[in-house]
Amino acid sequence: MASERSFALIHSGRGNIKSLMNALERIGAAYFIAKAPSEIERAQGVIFPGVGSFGALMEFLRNEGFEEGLVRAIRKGMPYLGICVGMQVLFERSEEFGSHKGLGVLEGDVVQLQREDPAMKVPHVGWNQVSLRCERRHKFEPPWEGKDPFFYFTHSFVCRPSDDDSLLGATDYFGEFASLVKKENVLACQFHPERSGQAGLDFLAWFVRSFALH
Amino acid sequence: MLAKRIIPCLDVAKGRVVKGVKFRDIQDAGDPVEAGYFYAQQGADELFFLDIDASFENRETMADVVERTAKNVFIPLGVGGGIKTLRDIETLLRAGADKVSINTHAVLHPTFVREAAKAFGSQCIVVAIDAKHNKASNGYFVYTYGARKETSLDALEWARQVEELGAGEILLTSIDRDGTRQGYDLELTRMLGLSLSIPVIASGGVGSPEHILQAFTLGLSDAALAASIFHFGEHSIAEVKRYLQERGVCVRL
Repeated sequence: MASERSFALIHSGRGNIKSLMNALERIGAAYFIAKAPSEIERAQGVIFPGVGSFGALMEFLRNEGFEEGLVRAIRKGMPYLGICVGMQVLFERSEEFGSHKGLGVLEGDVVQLQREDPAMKVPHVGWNQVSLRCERRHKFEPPWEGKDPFFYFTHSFVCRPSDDDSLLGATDYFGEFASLVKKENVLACQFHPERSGQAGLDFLAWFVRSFALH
Repeated sequence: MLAKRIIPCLDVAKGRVVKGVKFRDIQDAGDPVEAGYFYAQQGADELFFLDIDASFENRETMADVVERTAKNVFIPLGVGGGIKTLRDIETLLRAGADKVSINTHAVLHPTFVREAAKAFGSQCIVVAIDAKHNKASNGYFVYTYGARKETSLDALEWARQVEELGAGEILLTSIDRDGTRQGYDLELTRMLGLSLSIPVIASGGVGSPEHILQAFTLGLSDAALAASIFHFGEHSIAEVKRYLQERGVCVRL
């Protein structure tokens, strides 16, 4: 049920949302799947685990009326966590299968991972580390301390924030890319915290308990 | 840096693990859900359930196994065996699977790979290739129906074709080595590892931690699938990962 103390999940219908639901249950966070844009307004925050292509996901947001509702909620200060393509749609545009306009909440674009080396496989699949970049500048409790944790990634496109200040974490894969970004109430990760073992559960718990209350 | 993945594989029929798993620290090793949890706790990077029965009823059972496993296991789950329709894939993804592997049906209907990748994203679609060395041509041929039926497809050409069709990864099993514990077919693995732009998971023949090391260093694979080496408790996943790390392989520890 929608309530002020639970998180609205946006689900585009296809693919696996069960993992995220299981992970939220494990950390004791209440959630509901938003069936209509109006339900978002009553939530404590929004979590958007995007799967599929950028264009298809934007089309879903537009057709179901979520685009406007989401942007409005984010502008009003609602905590937002975007996962994978749910991160990418925050940017202004993507070149995945033609050019697509994104939500434009964050400045920058989404581009395909370029194979720089024969040993570089695309998609980037597996566990890779995230190094925090500017937690000091953001002046809030960082999501972890000490050794850079491993998270699970599976993607062929990466975000290129044009605003350096929004870069919170970077990952090295034949060059660095933005794996964690933050701007005010918006947090987004290229990795899948719901598939990243204990490190992922800790990250989700940090978003729910610390970031979303900040 | 991207870590090399260790993927324990469980063969499942009628909801039970077959080809026996024998750990001391686990109550019911025949239960894929318990075995999966055990491996995740040991540090597995991913789990693969292989449905070796692959009947319609068994697919429903697999969805149930995935659903119960996903409640306690927060690493990627792959499922393979008998997948023929987009609906089969959707059922498994809804249950909590992250990827499915397609084998025989991809050979029979290559465009199914494209349809599946388009519907669910390439990251979900693993094409499993069972390959066997052919002395006469000094090449590798693709086999279907659980390695029982030979095809005229060349393994590398087929791998390139499915890459083009949108497969996100290749699960490559050497039929010659499977079950022998003599090590992966490094020549076969290296051939695909060098030529493909998508990740290759090596499978078939692992008997020691050294074999896993070879799959990465000589075979150029991105991940190593293993069954019996872990099932009988000879080596734990954590132990193998430490062995790899000491030899300069990046692993998640």
